[in-house]
Amino acid sequence: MKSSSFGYLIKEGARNIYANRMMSIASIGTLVACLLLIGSAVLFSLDVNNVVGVMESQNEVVAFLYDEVTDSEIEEMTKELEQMENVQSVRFISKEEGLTQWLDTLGEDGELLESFYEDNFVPNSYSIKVKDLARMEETVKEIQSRWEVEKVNAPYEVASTLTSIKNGVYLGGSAIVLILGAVSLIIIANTIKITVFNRRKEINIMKFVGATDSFIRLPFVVEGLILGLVSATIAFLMLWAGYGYVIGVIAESQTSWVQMVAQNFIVFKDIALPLYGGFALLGIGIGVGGSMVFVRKHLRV
Amino acid sequence: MIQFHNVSKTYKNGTKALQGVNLTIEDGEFVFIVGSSGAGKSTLMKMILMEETPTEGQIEVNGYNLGKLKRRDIPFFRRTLGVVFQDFRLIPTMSVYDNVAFALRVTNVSTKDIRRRVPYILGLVGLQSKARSMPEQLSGGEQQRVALARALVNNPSLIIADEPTGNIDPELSYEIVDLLNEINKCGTTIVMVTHEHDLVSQFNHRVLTIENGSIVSDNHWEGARHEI
Repeated sequence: MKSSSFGYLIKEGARNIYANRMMSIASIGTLVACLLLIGSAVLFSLDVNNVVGVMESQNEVVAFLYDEVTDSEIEEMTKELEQMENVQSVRFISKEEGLTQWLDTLGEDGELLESFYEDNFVPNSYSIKVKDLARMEETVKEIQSRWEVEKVNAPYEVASTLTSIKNGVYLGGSAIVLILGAVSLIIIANTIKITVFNRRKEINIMKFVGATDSFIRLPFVVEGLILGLVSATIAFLMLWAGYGYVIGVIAESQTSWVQMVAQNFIVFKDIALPLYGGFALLGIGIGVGGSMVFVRKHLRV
Repeated sequence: MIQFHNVSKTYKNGTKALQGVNLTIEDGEFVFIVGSSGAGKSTLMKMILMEETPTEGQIEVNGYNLGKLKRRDIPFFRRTLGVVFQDFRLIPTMSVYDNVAFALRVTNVSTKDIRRRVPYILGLVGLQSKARSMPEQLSGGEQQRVALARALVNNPSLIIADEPTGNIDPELSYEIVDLLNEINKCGTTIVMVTHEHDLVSQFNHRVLTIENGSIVSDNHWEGARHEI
């Protein structure tokens, strides 16, 4: 193909968008709506996962040790605990530190009990953070089985609730994205089908003046590419603005836990590039793929 | 040159559109194909254009054996002929100039040649002043002349005109056929389907009459007149 023809086909694709502007607007509108829905579902899932992740990281398992465990044995045990697969961090809390922490929780009343420092009943302990809350029980059992450990306190209920939320959001989010993706494809396929159907006469004329199939297809492909890219950009900017607005409204809340949750939402800029890349790929893929499939049907003349 | 060797066409619904047609149209001829509706005229045209394939027999057009033509070679075969339809088939979103230039662009002709050739052809059909008009701003006769310019612009050796006067005023019909006649004088083969006997009678050309899928007469107008 000559370069002048190639330039003509690119120009033709762009011209077709303007010449068939009502259908172009309909295609862009549909594609933007679908991308917005998918993008919102992805952002929501990511945010919930992030918040749950932060909450997970704040849950600690506390292992209390027998008094007879020596300092060298504690040193050895710390190393072994740190090497455990599901353990994220290990912090040793001495008897004194443990007592201080306990007295602190009592506030002013605690000052009356400072005599306990002379006869400290608080055992040495470890504050252990686990990586995966879903596997907390087996990790606790392993720690419990050690001879040095007298007792382990673990927030099983919180762990199982968080794990359920995480699994639910993952499954629900994936299902929503899949369903929306399928619905979007059907709607967009129909829009492209109508666009191509409206121009079947044009395709027919091209066939009779001796245009090759690739020559006929290329302007439609260029058109699909431009429409896909424009839709992806519009959807991305709208999602950016919308997300910023929603986060702003949530952050203004006076309730402390809402503020805590809002602080842990994803910063849009951090995911902007992969999100736009995904949108552009999806938009262009649907635009170009759809055009090629439906034009082919009308090429058999 | 067009040659039909014992060509038959039966559609999937059982309709026998053509039956054992044998036909030769030499280069440079002007042939009218006449017949009532459903006689098989359109099927015959569709076969020349390779829009339909025969159930039996062989067709040769402009040196191409259509039965052996591969799908990817069809566009190159179609570039050797020009087609004019009853409904003009102009692209409504393109100007007159672009509608004509379009036929050159699809065949990879350079922009320089397009700029030289299109005004010349528009001048030939008397539409140079309407180059920038849109099809909807033209009369039926003018639209058909644009279609004719588009068919001519590739300098084809054969022009197929399927009822080119069917959608235009009778007084303008003569103009269109006269234009085809002039083109024929330059050596281009013209095959024109029509049902307007008055029009056929004004030109002394070969007339093929089709009835029930068969050619029932093949004469010049004087001979055909008694049979129609």
